Amino acid sequence: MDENEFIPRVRPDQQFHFVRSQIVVFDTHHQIETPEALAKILPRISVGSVFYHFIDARRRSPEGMDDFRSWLIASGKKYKNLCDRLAELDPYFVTLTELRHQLSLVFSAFFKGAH
Amino acid sequence: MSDLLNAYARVAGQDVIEHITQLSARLKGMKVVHVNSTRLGGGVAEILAKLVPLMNETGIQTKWEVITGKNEFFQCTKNLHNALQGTHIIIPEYLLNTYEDTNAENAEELRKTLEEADFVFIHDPQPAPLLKFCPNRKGKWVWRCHIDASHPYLPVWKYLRKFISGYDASVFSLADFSKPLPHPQYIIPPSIDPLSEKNIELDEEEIKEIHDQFKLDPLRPVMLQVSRFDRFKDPLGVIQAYQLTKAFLPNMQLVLAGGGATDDPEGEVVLSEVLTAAGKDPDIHILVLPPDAPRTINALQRLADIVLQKSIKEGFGLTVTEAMWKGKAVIGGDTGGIRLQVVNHQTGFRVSTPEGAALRIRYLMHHPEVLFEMGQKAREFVRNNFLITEQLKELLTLIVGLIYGTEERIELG
Repeated sequence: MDENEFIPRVRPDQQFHFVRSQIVVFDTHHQIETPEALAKILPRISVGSVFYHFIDARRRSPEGMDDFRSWLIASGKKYKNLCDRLAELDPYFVTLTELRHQLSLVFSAFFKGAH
Repeated sequence: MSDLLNAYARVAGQDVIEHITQLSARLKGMKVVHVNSTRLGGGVAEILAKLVPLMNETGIQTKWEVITGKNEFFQCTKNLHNALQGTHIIIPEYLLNTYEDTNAENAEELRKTLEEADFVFIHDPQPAPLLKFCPNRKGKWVWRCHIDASHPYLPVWKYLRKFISGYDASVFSLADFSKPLPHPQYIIPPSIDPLSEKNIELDEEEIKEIHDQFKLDPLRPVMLQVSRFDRFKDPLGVIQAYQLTKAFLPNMQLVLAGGGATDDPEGEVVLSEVLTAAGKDPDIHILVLPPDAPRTINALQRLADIVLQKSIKEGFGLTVTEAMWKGKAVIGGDTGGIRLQVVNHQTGFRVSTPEGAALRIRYLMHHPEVLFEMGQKAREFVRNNFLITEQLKELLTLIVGLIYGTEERIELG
């Protein structure tokens, strides 16, 4: 605000509200064994799962990494390119639905031989 | 899974039912009581009529109790209700005494049920003092406010606050509607029931009958607003928007559908103004529907190409939710709960003037692929946020959250 030439005005009925959230974690009962299986299931996973594994995971893990990359790195060096493509996705400028679509495209491109 | 939950799973999706199942597994055997002041009529009764059976289906023993009172009690509570929504009303002390005494009498009747419940939900101001008269309660009590309390008449709010402060939590429909209170406040928007007459899928034949009944040309586009004839819904602004649109889209038809105005003197005045503004234009259809015409409204919303809710002031705006559930993009007034539902360029457009509304209508009518895509997004947005299954999930999450306290993360899986 100090840097602005003028003080921004807000309409009286557009006040800012501080809102707190609690995250509730559900088990989807879906388990996958391979990255190929993840690629197949990605287009259908819920946006809640996308949030949990791709955004929330960065707060949970000591490395600040999403669950997909953590798992792929542990699966071996052959997934390095896929991890690099995933690292380029910025989840903060798209909706969760669009993010799911982007994730599906990245995985699909990798497993169709584009790596 | 029960037939009822299966039926909801088919329209709401399996995920939300699975979430409800996991949440309710933690709450099996718990006793929950909802209390309001009427079993018939009004939005709260309509919600509870669906919510209570659903909660019972999940294995949570849920009861719905209704308090009773004489005319003076309801006269007082109507004044409290209006005052909470901003009307300056001085309520005589004798009415306030009746209000408290009636609650005390109801507490005597309901004491055993309320005091042994694990969770009690008190809906709106009518039963709010019950808490004071149940000092040996075992469980947690939550005050659920269904109305816009953002700008109440302060003396009345100060009076009611005495009864509400002692609750363990309160729930409001929007952050804007909430009040500062010394306990956690939850935001749970209202919802629609996708299996109700107003929202259930209709076949083409039934929709065609509505075209015929109201003499609408099925080959020409329709813009629709469904609302009471009330100045805050700006029906005159909708007519202006239609007239501006008509200059570019001569085929457009306008339908303004509202309830009867028999008990609302101002409604009759507004209806008269609307009829005057409509003049002799054969493409403006002013429909005064009976109070109980959910399938007619359902069909009108489905046949419309564009739905408007050009309100100047609005609570949550469930007519917007209904239209979006039917795959319609909505042109909505930039107010109240419409802001939560209508996201510019995604599920519709928010507008402040008839000119703005006309511009957006013209844009959408010239870009049918955008109109279709927005309608699809609108439906998915409602599926994920504003169906009764989601409301149930949020209520169960609230209960689990109150049990777990202030922990940031609750792991059910």
